[in-house]
Amino acid sequence: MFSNTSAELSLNAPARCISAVTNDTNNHRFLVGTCALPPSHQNGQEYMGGIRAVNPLYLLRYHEEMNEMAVDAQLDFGTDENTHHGEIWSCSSVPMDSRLVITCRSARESSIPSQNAQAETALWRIPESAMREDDIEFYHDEDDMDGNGKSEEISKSMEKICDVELGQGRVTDMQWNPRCIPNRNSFDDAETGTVSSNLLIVQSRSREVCLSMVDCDSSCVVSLDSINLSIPTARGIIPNPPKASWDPHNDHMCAVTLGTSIALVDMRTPSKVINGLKNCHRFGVTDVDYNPNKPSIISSSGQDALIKFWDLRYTASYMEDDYIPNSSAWSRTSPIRTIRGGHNHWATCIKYNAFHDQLLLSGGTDSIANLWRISSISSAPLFDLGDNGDMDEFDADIGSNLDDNDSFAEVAKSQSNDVDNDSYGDDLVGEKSGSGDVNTNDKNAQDIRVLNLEMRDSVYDVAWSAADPWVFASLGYDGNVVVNHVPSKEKYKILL
Amino acid sequence: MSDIEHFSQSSSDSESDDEEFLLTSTDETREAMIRRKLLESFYGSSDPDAVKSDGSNESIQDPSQSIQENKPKAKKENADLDSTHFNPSLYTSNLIHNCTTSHILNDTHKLSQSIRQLDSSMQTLVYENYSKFISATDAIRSIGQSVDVSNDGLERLHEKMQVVEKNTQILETSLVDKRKQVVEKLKLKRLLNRLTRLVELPVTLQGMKDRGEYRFLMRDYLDAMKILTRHSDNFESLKSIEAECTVIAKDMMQEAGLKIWVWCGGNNLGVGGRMKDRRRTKAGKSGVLDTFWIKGGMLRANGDKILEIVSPENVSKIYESAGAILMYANSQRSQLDDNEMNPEDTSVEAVLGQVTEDECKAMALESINVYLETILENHAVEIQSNKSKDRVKNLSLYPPEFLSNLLEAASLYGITFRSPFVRHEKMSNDGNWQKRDANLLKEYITMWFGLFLSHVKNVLLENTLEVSNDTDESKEEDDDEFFTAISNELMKLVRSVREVASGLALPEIGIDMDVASNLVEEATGITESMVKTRVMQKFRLLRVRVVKECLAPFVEGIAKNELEEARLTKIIQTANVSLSDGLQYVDDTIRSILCNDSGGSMSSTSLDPHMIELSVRKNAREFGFWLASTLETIGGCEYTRDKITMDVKSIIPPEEGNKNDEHNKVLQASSQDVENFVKEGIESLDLPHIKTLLEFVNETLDDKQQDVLRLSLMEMSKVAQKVVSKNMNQSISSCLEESSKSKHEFLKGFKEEKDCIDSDGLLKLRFQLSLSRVTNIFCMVLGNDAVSMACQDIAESCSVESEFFPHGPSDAATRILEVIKRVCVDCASAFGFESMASEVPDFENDYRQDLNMVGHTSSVGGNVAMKGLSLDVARIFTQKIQVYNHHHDLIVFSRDSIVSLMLTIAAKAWIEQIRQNSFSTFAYRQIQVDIEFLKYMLPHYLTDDSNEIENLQKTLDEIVLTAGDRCIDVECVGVNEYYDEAMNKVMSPLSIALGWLKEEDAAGGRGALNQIVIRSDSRDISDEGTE
Repeated sequence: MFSNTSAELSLNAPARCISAVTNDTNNHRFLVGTCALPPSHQNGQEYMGGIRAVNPLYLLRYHEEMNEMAVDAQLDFGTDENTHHGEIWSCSSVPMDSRLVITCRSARESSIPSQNAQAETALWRIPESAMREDDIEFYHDEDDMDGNGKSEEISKSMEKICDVELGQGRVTDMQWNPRCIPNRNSFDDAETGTVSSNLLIVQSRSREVCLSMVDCDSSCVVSLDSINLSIPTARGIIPNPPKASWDPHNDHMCAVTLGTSIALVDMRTPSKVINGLKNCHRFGVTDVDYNPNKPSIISSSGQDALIKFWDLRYTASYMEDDYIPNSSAWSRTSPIRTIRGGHNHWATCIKYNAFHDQLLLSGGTDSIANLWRISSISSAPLFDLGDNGDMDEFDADIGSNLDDNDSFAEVAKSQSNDVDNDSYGDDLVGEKSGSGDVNTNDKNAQDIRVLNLEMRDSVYDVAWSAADPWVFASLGYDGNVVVNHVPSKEKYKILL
Repeated sequence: MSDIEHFSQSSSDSESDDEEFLLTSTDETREAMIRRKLLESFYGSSDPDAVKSDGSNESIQDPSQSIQENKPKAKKENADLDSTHFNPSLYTSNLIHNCTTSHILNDTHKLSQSIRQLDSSMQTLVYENYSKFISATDAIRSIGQSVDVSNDGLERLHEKMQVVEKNTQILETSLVDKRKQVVEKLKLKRLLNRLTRLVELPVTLQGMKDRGEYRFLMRDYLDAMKILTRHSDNFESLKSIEAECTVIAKDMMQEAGLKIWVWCGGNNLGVGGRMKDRRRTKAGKSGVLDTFWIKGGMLRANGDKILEIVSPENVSKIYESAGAILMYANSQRSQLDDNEMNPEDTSVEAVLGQVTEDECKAMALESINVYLETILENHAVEIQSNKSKDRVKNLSLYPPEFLSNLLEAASLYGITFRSPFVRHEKMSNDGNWQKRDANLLKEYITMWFGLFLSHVKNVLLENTLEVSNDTDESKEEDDDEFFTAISNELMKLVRSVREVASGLALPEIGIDMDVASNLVEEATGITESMVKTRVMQKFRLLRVRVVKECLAPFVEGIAKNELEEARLTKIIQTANVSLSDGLQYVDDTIRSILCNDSGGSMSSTSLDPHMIELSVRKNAREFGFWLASTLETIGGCEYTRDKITMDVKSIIPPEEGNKNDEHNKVLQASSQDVENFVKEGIESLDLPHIKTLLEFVNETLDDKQQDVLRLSLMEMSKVAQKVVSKNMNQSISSCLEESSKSKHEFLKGFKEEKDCIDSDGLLKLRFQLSLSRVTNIFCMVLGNDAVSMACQDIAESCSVESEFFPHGPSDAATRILEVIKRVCVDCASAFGFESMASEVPDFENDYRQDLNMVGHTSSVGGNVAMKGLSLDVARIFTQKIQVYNHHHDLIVFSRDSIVSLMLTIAAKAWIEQIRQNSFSTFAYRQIQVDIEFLKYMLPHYLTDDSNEIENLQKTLDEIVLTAGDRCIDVECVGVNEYYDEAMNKVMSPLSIALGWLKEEDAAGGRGALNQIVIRSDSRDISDEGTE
């Protein structure tokens, strides 16, 4: 198996967002939006041959058998004269339908699109023909993605279904209700539980973060509710795109980054914000992600180059009606784990593996993407770590058997069902007794950096593949997409 | 008589011969030789004797010898008067030829003198011999006369003796009968005695039973039964005696059986609680006693009796019972070899008769086990009841009787079960029994001792737990006193364990030396760990004290002081004072542990001083590491002394071998934190205090105060780097010196070692590391500070469109420089660095030059417009920079490195901000001007030829590149010359910046320029400036 190899593809344009096509569990599909600055006048054609390309949405596919990455389609936003080339600030594939995607782009009206200027957020349908199932043809080899020649074949137009009516401000993050389980064919099947909305959109405004609960349908997107949270002032804070994460164990709850703090939002309450973690990261929190298997554990990355893990159960304080981020009611808790030294500038994003919560991805503006195994605080901590020699032999034997993707998912799901709240205390004990010397890169330690990828430019987004829990993609600002596998040693350590 | 005459004759002959020999005439040499031989044969030996006989003359001849010393060696032998080869004629002629007359005369005189002397001594010798001969001949003559005198007397004696013999024989025959009668009577008497004993047996047995001497009772009973069973059929009285004895024996058996059954826990079988506990012992586990426990229930014929049974008074009672039962069982078995016992039989005899030897041993050992446990329990109860009273006086760690009982149990075991009358003949054929026996006993002893030690440990634990974590002074003294009491008690314990062990090792008991010495080792282990714990405890309290009494007041002092009043230098001084205060506390602690004078110290007790010293040293070292990590934690780093923080190695490994070593050392140093934490366990007393302090720092201190705090922490780690291990070494060695004066001479060797605490330099490195980390945080905070101020309005300013060109650097640039200036000035006053690298560049001059330059576009390389591809190339070659220092990096502590680190952080953050916005032409140009301005000003803050300045310039260039990427007007990107139509002149970003500087300067220098330019007397100005 080629499970340790990686594939790389360059889009030759700055890009900040990547999204796995979550509904497609058969192919490793990713959507990447570029954000090259379009010329201020509507004479984009002049620059078609140059570096100033339009900003299409790229549909990428990773061919595991050949270990190749290819552009399946270069999707532009309509062909009529209203077409403009706004930078794509965020995109998110709809988990119920792989052909639907929501994007946020700079609006063309503002000649100098700034951070707080009007942005256009819309739901788009990808043409059927773009979702290719055929094998790779290596068309991208001869084509340098300059936008001429054969690229026209892959150039497709998307159909705009509707605009998402949001207020001013750039969309920085879109989070789907965890109950929106992929592989459902209709929206009706998607049980959203007691919550009517299924999408959370985070917008950045000047010194404010706007959260919108949105109900997304195959035909329309309705904004149900929205709140504005002001970013508490703190020293040396440098604004960065706010992010959010939806609690997979309680779909009323979500966590939003708010300057140096993390706000916990309960969508049922009138004040929305019920609690928060104060001063999580010096200078600002950049991303937050809930542990998918273990309730109340969240991870966060920050501008202090640290990655931290928090146990929300320690933040017992409850806020009545007032939302005062700086009040003492917001507890300054200490993290349950801190990773130091993984990045040497801002850590910009953090993503849990959806099935194995030991595995995490983090990216940073130091052009590094890291794959971590943080098993000491995961739902399935490693206790007995046999020596590596045995694992090597295992690789050869088991590699072929475990090839089937579905079996992975099954194993993973059965594991995730075993989440036991009470086991947390035991975990801590286990951590104490565990040999894990965190200062050595001992492969048998509980928590290690499994991989670190050096990209060419800052990493602003990473994504796990929807088709295989062991595949992930990281995106550099220079437009480089790198697909990687979790090393099989790690894989078997977790599975076996 | 003739003999004597002959003797005298010969001697006179020899006398004259000797004279002749000495005077020497060559004719008579032969005769002289013969005489000499004769003399030799008389005196028994040859030459050496001859020499010896002459020996008395040696001293006299010496002078002549010394005179002749200067003669040649070959002749020396002939000239030697004592030599056998002495040649008199040669000697004389030599003398005559070689010496002066007076010398010869002298010699002659001396010679004649010595000859005379020899003569006289010879004469005395001869006379002595002579007189001896005379007395000898007298004696021989007298013997020959009296030999035959006593013959008659002897014959008479012989006759008398024969008479005596006859008389004796007569007597013998007459007395034979009488003697036989006597023997008969004696026999009768013995039999009668035995009969009496037999008759009295019941009484005796009863007495023995009452005294509890079951074993003797059983022995006597069994002996008696042998006789009684033989004869009782014929005698009515004997029968009754037999019956009576059997009743007593039965009673005794009942009593003994019941006792041992209760003692070994059978009574609690039904209750269940204790029963399960018993299972943990060897006998309980292997099930040897199961049948006995169950069957023993049958003994409970009379329920009341069980209640009457009190616990055994001592170990020997237990052995009495067990031994008696075993004897009985053995005898039963030999009697009823073939007759199957009825297992249903519930009588006492039946039950006890079936008991095997193993069971008996198990019974005894089990009972002892219970007994010993009771002792421990009682002791525990006693301790509990004494708790409220004065704990020093009432301290007792262990019941004193336990060990003696243990020893007794071990020694009685052999006596009871190995004595021949207990042992069954058949069983002793089994060769292995001895080995098995010893093993069983060994196991039990180990178990008992284990029980004992765990009891002692529990008591210790309970006592020491009470030692509170309070740092209260008086309390600590109390603790000291208490600890002394404990350690004394422990020493006693070790001593008595040693005694017990040597007792156990005696051959009668047959315990291996190994087992015995293990016991001692375990006991000493306890005391050692006690000392170690105490030392550790002291150092932990020290930590709390340092945090509470040195660091916290210092931090609070920063919070209280209005900064305008307290100058930075003053605060730095206070920082150093509080550090040395902390070290004073360390010294106090070390002194209190090591020195004698303070009283209640540990070395005053009889514990091993070397061990204490080692443990102090270890703890002092750990304290050093703790201090380093605490300093950095207060400075804002992650707390590394728990396992929450996971440190990841830098992905850029150092290339050079030398650096690699250093890097590994750094890793080692920083890993100490976690290692120590693992050793200490999760409970650390100081952590809550540190957390409170941290909270205080974060909540109460304002931004400026935090900066000051970090600066002073940097200073503290810098100082600590040099001072801490040195001070601790000093206080340890000075303490040792004091105490070694009195006793431990051998410890003096350690003084030679220079740095025993930090021999590998890790501690120093750790402080260096904490300095680096605090510096990193400081730079990060200020760098981010600068950028957040600079980029406040970036969203608005970047979209400004203007027809004009920028007039000068924007607020962003000046704000950044303001922060840099503050850092420079602060560092200067804190660490004594130069406040600036060089004066502000001579911008008026530069401005004029620059004006001249413009127009000659090609002359200045940097000013050539970069477009399209060349921009791409520039982008490719932009260097990747490490922005934040890795936490394992050691920084060079200098103004340059601080400023450049801060500026790099600011630049990188700025780039990130630029990427989120898009720029108008004007905003882009503004950035160009800002960057040129910054680059121009850099030498003011950074040494010109440093590496840092080069890297920084590249980083600053990257800002322009990024802004170009985000500029919506492609045309203007990379253009470094603008043609200002209004002014009708060509301008470059630099010229704009210089122009602005000139204008500002002309405005009086009190405006923006003053905010960013460091004056040489800046310390005063800065205080005004930063207000």
